[in-house]
Amino acid sequence: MACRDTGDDQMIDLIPSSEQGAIAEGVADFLREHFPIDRLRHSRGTVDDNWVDLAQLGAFGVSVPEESGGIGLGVVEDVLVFREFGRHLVSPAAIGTRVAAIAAAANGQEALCRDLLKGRRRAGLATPAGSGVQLLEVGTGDLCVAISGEILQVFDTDQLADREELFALDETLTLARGRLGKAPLITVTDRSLVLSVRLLAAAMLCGVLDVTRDMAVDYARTRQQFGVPIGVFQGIKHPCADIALAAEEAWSQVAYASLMLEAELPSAAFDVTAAKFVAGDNALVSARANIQIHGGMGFTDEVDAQLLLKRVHVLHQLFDDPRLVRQSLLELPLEI
Amino acid sequence: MEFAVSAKDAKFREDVREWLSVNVPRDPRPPITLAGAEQVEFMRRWQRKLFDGGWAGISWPEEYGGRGLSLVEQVIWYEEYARAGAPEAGCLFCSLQHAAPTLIVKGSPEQKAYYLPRILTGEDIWCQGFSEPGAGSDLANISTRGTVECDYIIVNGSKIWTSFAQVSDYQELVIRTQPGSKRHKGLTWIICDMRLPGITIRPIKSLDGEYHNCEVFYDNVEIPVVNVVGKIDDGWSVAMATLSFERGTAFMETQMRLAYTVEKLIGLARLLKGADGRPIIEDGGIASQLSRLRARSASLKAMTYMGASRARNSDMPGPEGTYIALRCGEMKQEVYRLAMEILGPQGMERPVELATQDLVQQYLYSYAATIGGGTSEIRRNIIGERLLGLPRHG
Repeated sequence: MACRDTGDDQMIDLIPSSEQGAIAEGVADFLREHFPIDRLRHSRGTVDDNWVDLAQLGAFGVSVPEESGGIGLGVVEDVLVFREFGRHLVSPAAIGTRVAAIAAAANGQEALCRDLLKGRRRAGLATPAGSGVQLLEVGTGDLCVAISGEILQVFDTDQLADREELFALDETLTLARGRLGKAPLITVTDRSLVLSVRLLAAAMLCGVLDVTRDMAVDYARTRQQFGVPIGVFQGIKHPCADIALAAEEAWSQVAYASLMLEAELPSAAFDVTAAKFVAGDNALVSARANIQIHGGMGFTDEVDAQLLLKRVHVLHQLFDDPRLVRQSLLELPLEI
Repeated sequence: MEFAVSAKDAKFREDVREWLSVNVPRDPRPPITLAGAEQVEFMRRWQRKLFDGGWAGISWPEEYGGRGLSLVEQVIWYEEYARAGAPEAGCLFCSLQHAAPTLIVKGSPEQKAYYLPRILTGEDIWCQGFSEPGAGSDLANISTRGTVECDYIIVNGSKIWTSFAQVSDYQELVIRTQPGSKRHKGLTWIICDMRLPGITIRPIKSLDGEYHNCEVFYDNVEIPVVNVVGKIDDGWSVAMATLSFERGTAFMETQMRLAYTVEKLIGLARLLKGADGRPIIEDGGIASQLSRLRARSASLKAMTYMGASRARNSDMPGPEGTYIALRCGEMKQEVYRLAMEILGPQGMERPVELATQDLVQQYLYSYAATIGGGTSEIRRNIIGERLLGLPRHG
């Protein structure tokens, strides 16, 4: 638990402890080697080859209880790991797999939980669209997670109907239309768990923001025009600064919201919703700026800037329409 | 990453809240006028009250009469201070937020012993003397010169954008003491008594009707050498110590006030009706902007916590404070711009007497938020160059 009584000092510390940092760093090391972003240029819409290895690392079970095969930590450690996922554009199925494992453990379905944690099963995500749902990263044999209000449901492949394959805005992901059956494998009513799903999407957006910043700054430092690096010009330097600020702002809110959620404070719903909105909005604006900074190359399919933009759209839209999120921001109770 | 609560801190918050609820002045802080006497009297009285109540210099070490509160306690204080609607520092900002921290870090024992207690009680008012007509964003381009003659430094030149010079007792004056020196070298940071012969002050009317800034002229002003803070010709490092404070902790309170202002605007939008007879909040555009700003003020608070978390491992706020400063300034303008939209035709009206609590007044004043203390452009340069390592111009 990250919430404790120290007896002498209240504090909100948003810097990872050395143990927390080590968990994130362990995942980051693995991702750097096995999940470079340029892998996506050549493998469109296929499952990452190293998914099983990533699972074996324990990355999906950070907040799954130890007795169910997880690491037994909390959502605070989860957001650190999912930010790393975001940095490497790991499939959003990571969110589905993690939350399906937690739901399975809570529901006493230990075998399923272990299958998910070991990478033998994967869980994609269902988002309401039209009269049915959009199925994101729900491949053959995959499970599927759907959210409605405070209810989280996990469906097995054979509980999906009218499946129709689509071509995704983010071509590196699979997308289909379909209908959810009436008998889900698991149904859990858990406000905190539902909030954690939104927060992890926000954490992944923070990871994308970090890459966006680094990519923009790298290019501004190295690309030469008029005999100097273009980063000399304020027309380039200032957008870079804005991206850095956007990343700082989004991560601060995500980190803060993770602590509030872990402590189960009443304002957690607002903080998580704000985190998702700010991370999505900032990532979108920054992805656009990064393309602009890259000039003509930014418009091509050959530079990764476009991958970031498309992934941001997917994560921003995940679970809730940003338009509706904005509305709920005005209604949720908040403590200042 | 950790969130820890303690009974001790809950008690501290309770104490702060109770003291403020009894002691915060009911009247709003008067605006800063040409002569400025009303605000000075108001703020001196308030600072004295804080001092008597044991709430002056909360961040100062105890050896200088402060409370030596932890960062968390300071955050609680600022939160409660803003919640209680207590007066913003105004004419005491420079003494409390610039001069004192600088003297504590760089002042001589004699300077600390004399000036710090007078600052703490609100007896002395200070102003800054950094910017010049030829040294605005380009702060190192200072040309006001000081010539050392025996025990005095003779100062000639002029400063501009000096806030509260018309009511100040002392000034943090930065002058060029090494003839022919360039940029950051050869500068000296000196305490200037504003009543010395040869000083002329011209208050400048701001676009909001207040007199926030002054121009100050120095004609053979003789300042004792003992007033130098740090060493002669080493003023830049002293000035930088002050500026990094400005970009750090000083924004906690501003950020809290912004959060309250957003809530106030939501209330106002529910209350006010447009010419069509419908509550303003029912306008989708307004509602959308309000929710956006509500989320943004939450993330600004989170950024403040992030800054405080980093500062815990360092004596001085890092350059990351620039993120908060930049966001604060721009958000202030967004918030008050939206206030004007909500007010509609009411925003065209102003009270006969200037009033700091007037939303229109605050809207007009918000134009300073992206200029004073470092323009947004300079702040973006700092982020780009110092934090991201982008190349400097030329």
